[in-house]
Amino acid sequence: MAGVDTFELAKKSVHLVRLGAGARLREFRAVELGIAPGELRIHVPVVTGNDVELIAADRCLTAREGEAWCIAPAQTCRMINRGIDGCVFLVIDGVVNDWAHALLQRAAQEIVGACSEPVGAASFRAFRDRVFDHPALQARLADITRPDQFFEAVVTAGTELGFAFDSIDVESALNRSRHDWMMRTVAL
Amino acid sequence: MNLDGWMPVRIARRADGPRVEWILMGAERLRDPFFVQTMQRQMMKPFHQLFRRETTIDEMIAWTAANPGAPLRGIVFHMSRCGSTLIGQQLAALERTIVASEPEPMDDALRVTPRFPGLPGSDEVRLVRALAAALGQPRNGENALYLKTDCWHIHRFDLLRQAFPDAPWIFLYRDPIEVLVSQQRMPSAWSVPGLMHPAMLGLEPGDWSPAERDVYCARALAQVCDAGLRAAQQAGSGLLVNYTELPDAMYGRLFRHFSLRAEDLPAMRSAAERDAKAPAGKFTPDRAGKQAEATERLRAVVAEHLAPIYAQLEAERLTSLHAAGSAISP
Repeated sequence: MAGVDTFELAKKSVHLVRLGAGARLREFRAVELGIAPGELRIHVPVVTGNDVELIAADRCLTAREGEAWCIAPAQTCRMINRGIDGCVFLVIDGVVNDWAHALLQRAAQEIVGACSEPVGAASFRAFRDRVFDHPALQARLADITRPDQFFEAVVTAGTELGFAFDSIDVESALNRSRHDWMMRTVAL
Repeated sequence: MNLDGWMPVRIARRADGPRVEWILMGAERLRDPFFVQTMQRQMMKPFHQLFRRETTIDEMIAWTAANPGAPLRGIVFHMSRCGSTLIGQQLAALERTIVASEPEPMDDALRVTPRFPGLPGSDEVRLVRALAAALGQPRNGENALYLKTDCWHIHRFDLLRQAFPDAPWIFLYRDPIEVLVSQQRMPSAWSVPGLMHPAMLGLEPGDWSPAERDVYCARALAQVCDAGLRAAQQAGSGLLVNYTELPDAMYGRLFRHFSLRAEDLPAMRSAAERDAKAPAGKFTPDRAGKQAEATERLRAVVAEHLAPIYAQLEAERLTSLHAAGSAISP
């Protein structure tokens, strides 16, 4: 783990995350998982491929081997491995110091990474438009109150119609939409 | 675009312009004391979180042009805490009515502030007409829409009048001591400085003292009452109504005003026996309790800021009552 020492900050934890083919990490925010103010989480792809999606704020980052990514702890994050091989990420939680601060400043100014809409999110968006045009589909889904049953019914309906999203994509879309509703603000 | 069964729930200000957000209401009715309560209940369904749809305002205008909805048979303006919810619940008790009680999307449309100046003249008129039409879509064969506004919407009276020149309206008010006691027991968001732009209340930014929130509230109420009085003096098809006339006025001079029918009476009378804001409970008169609770300080605030306009409202109401003869009971 010599590479870990490249990161010159006090480390709270260092661990490896492995996602097998087809595996996925549900959406989370690092702040909800013990990252306190003044701390940060660094993701280092160790083994990855084009079919691995590291998704922050609902955008898919192009995280390549040898890079390091820092996702704002309050931001939503999820991972999907759509490839046929496993992927491995090194995840370092540490305390922001001058070194880390300078690194983040420089990265924010100098590095422009391409990002794209995640495959599942795009597919779900298309499905949602389909639902809006189909009262029968609306009727099928509208009155399901239990979230797990609802997600399952949505994924089933999507699969039947040839869409390629799963329950995690649905849950992420729902979380974002609920957040938007709850944060609707009085226009002062 | 087919919006059958969908209801607008807010106007969101997106980066690329305003968007109307809709949820699938199907045959659900707006029976709660407030629109927001129905929405809170509806939003517990995961479907509404995942499948809210957005349209542009123009799309809503185009769709409602082909689907005009139930006609607007009455608008209830009020000074808050004065019986407007009772009227709303009496009307909502009727199977044939739709009552939009302080609907959030209408507030989104009517609220203009220095930061969000709103839409240009005729567009605003088309917007509020389309919103009323969208809110007033019959879901169970209803044939009349009633709008209970938020109290500050009386400051948008001219716009609403222009949008609905034929809609009968009332301005409802109450002894300001009782209103202010109610506001002290449970303050409305608007009565707390900083939670609503003072321009919406006819007040100036920064023109309040942190130690005198009751004065801020009283001055805002005075502006509301003043706008109600001016509306009554200038525009036809409106009535001033005092809380003391309720609920009997609903069976009297408001009966024809709001196009009500004899068969509506039992349901309205039954609704009046319940607590309008907590319909599971019975209504208990609270005038004496509120009067007894009024402190000397509160009475002094009322005397300075609200007593004069209240007296003017009463004078105007009694004059028009005499001119009209007297209340007619069916």
